[in-house]
Amino acid sequence: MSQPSLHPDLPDEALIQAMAQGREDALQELHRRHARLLYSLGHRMLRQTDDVESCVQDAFMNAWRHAARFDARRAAAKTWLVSIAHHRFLQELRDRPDTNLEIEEWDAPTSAADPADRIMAERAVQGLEGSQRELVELAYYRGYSHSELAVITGLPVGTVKSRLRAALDRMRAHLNTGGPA
Amino acid sequence: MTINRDDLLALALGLLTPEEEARVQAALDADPALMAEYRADLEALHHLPDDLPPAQVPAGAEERLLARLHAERPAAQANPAPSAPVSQPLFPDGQAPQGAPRPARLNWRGGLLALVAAVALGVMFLRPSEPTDLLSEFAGAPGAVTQELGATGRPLGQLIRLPDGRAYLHLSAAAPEQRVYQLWRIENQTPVSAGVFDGQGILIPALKDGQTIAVSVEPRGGSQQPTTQPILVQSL
Repeated sequence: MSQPSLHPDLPDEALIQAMAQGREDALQELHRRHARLLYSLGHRMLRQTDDVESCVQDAFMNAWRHAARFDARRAAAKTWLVSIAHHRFLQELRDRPDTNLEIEEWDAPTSAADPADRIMAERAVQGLEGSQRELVELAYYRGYSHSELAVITGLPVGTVKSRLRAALDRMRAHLNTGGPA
Repeated sequence: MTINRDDLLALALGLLTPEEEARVQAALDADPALMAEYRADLEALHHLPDDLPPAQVPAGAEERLLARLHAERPAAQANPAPSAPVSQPLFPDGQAPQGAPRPARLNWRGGLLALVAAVALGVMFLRPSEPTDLLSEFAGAPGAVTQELGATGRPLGQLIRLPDGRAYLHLSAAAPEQRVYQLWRIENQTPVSAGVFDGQGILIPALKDGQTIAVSVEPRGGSQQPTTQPILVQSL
């Protein structure tokens, strides 16, 4: 017996619930909605394209396997999915041979897929001072630890921690209000 | 034991050691306000990719994802009981691969010698068995060969070799509460993570002849290097 088709406006959380019930079309729909974002993240973190698809696949497969354990109290569905992919890319980075610590060239913000999300994200990062933004991006996209960030920036570890925390608080404030903290 | 906001940020960034992560996770589970704080951090951090240039999804990516799903089912079945994740890292609850301070590598020769003690200890704290449908299913597959695993006469589980080169590893008991099993490939006497599983079984992709695998008990989310002696070391 065939299953009824999924409503196109189902929220992500409902798709994950459907995945937990074995609905492959829910996985497909989640892939259609968010694959571009995960590929963007993969290209940014891995800085090449070779391993990105396998990592994105891993992320969707992990989401499929653990859909029944999704907990909306911990994170929104999209955040959960990005978090899974982020950790997969981090592991890929950490499995690579050691590379020199360095500050890379930063991508200038450009048009992302979803205009509303782009505006929100731009608000968040543009509320940061240059050094704050640099720290957040090194930590998030490169997975550098506090001590590694201290080596890179020449700052004491305690200062790295406090600046990261201040940066994240500003991002949170901007996401909530659309304006400065 | 106090959890501060730097700990939450470090958890969200995947910077904590397994021990630190377990401590923070326990605090989150016990404190809704702390959980809300952590959620706000996660939402803010994972908004960052929205600011990236859009990427092209490779042609056929969706079809390849579905093909993989079909190839790995029932191991990849969303229903978690009984679970049989394939051999790859899993971080489903925002738990990270452990990055920063890495635990010292264990001596795997010593690990083999310590196996008897580890098995004895392991049997004491392992949870009762879960249903074993997948075990029966794989064991009954055409061409499947089942190998009993054990140490010093004590059964540990079974390894089922499938005709396509894959293998299904099934342990006799589930992992302890708040812990998972982690599968390792031994490369040049160094363990390389090959995935975690919190049920009793894991599907291992085709490996080269003579490949040695091992299983250790780790904190939820797994570890970058083993933090306990292996309960199983097996050459395929």
